[in-house]
Amino acid sequence: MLLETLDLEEGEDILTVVRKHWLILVSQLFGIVVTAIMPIALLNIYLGLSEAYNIETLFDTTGYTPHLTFITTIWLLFSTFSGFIVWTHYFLDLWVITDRRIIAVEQIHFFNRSVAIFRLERLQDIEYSIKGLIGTFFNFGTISAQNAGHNDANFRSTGMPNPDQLQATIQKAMDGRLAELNNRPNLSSSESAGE
Amino acid sequence: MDSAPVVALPSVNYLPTLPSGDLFLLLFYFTVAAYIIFTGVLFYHWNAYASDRKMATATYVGYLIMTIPMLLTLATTVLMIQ
Repeated sequence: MLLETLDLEEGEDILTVVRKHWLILVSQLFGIVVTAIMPIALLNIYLGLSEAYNIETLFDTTGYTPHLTFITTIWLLFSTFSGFIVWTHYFLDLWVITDRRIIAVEQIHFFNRSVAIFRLERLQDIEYSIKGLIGTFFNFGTISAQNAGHNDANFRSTGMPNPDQLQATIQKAMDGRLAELNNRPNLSSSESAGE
Repeated sequence: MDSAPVVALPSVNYLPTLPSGDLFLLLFYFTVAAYIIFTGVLFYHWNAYASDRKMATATYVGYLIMTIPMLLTLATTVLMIQ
């Protein structure tokens, strides 16, 4: 399990675990469900209308029920695979915000995963943006931050729920961390050495 | 001007013909192989990277509940086609 393998530092507490907004998941799953059902529904509508209006069909399905069932089931099985891929990527793609670090886990595909760790005392310029009608209505958006001293070590994530609250949480954790380091200035170097 | 006589060549069937039942059986084996590989990959990811054991278990159960009936349907229909 992830949280057991995160190797938290001594005294480090997890403040929150954040995933993308549920609407991102629902919209992707909706697309898969529509794609799964559409060919079957269209075939049934076509055959039903042909039968109702006595129109000759392009193909005779009499006696081929097992064949059609077989093909339909394979189609549904692979659609189910797609659904579980989306669900897995949604659930395994997360941010763990502790009182010392942000651990951003990005599950891009199966066997394509990146884990980035950002120390709070090195973060600066946390920004969020909410764009569009749906984003505003459901309150999700993009949040990004820069890591001081490392130009290419910025992080950015789209579809994050309650980005304003998330920004506030990170900012509060950063302030707490900086205050702690100011009180004990040798803390940061010893922790960084232990990383 | 005399035209060349048209010679009818014997048609060559390049595609091997496979009985419908065997074709569906082959497709079934491929599907089962894909299912086993996908299930292994899915379970590996959830076991290694999930942050919530209960959710991982719910995913395993949901996955098996949804897919096993489909595999049984495939097996039944392929037997009917044979």
